[in-house]
Amino acid sequence: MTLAIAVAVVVATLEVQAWGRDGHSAIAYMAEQHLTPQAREKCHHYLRHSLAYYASWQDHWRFTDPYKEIHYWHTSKVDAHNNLLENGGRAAYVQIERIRKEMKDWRSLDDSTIVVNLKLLIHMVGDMHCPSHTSYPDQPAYKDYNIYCSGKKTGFHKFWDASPSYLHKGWTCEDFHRNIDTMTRRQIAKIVKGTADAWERVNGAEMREVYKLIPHDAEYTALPEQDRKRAVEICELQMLRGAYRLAYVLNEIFKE
Amino acid sequence: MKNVIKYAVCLVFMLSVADAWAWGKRGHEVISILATERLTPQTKRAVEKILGGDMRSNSNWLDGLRTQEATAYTNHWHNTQIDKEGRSSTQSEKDGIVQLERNIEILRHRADHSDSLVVAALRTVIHLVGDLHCVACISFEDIPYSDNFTFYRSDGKSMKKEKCQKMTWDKLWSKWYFDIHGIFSSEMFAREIRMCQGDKFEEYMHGTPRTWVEEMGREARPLIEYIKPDQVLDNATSYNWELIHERCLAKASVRLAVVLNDIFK
Repeated sequence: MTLAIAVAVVVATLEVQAWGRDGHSAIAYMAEQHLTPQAREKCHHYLRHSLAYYASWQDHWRFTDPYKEIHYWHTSKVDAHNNLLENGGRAAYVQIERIRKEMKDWRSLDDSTIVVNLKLLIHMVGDMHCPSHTSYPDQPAYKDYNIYCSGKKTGFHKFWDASPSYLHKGWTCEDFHRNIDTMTRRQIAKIVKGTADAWERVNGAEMREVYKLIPHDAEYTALPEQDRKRAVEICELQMLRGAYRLAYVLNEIFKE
Repeated sequence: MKNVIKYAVCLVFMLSVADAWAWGKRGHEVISILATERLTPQTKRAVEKILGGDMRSNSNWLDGLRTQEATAYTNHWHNTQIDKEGRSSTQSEKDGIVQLERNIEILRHRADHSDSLVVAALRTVIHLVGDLHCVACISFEDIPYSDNFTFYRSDGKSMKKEKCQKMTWDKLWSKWYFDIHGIFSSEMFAREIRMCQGDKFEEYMHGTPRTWVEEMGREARPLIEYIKPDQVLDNATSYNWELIHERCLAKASVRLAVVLNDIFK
């Protein structure tokens, strides 16, 4: 019994330590399954790797010159009425649209610009769909918002960053694709319509729910089953939105 | 409660070091997946017949011996030492290159040996060709700390030790470069190596195990001279070294196939 408790504590610890890289890899992997042949060929040509390989590149380099400015591009803010706040360009949706515009003329760009732009798109289109990456002035700041997972304290932001692997223990990227990437073409077409601004407006409206779903100081495992089920639904929907929209953006850039 | 903490600490330690030997489980699986693709049909049949299974599921057998008292002496086999002139000149039974050569010879003359010795020899060759292409398995006669050492890795925010991640040279090469990609399967890593290194596979085929180890010495030496024990490795350099990690995995894969195809031709 003592050993069982110890195992549970350790496993819970390790799971919560699996930060954003798992979700990013899974989203980018699923996106890649929806690339056109020409978009796939071009992405592989420039990256010399899959999308998933560089899915966390922006996190790896965010504190290092000459990339320090990208530290501010991972999230977006909305006001109390869900209006988007540009924040001087320091918002994921602003940068995504800037890069989309720049990449319309990718043939005139040098290779290193294309490569960096691809790496940023892969990360930011994923990031903007993380439930905790839309911040609200009328909600508690992340540093003050704690929840518990099997007794271990974790931050609200960290919980949602780690939610893909916490809520689907042991899944690989292929498992995510196999198990949740099941939307029809019609459903996908509906999701990918619009620009990053429009997508962020929807996030802004919808992601308020997660604050009610898992309140400050709540123990996740003690929540009613329907609330835990809803958390899984939100996590999966946001991952799929990120994946389908990333594929759409890249297909559009590299269409013949 | 004290016992709970004791068990938990032991379990965390075991889980964290399980992959922190040379390439670790993932690295060896990636090498086996790629090497298998390059085996001739004849070699593949012979290898799988001897192993009673595929290469991948046998690729970590030698690591399993390290924790058993009776076979703990094999611990030294996973490393090799380069001499002061940059050559792989060692004849020490404890050295990985000597054990690799010995087990290759057993396989060449497998008809003269028992089945169990042949199986062990094949598993050893599969593992050691991999290990001898891991930067962390290369030590230098004139660099005392090169066996393994502790340093600090900065994430870019600060170069102060207390704010950096403490790690070992082993763990950087066996675990960290895999972990940064999250939930990647071994198949996915193999695919990445094919994508980024596939055009160089033919080039990597040439040479012998000793020349390969000497080449690894030339690859590893500047890295070990750049980061010394207890120093801080900057973020940019740690990520730039990933190219070396990829290259070493590719070389190990190609050369494992070369060795086995030559033995079983």
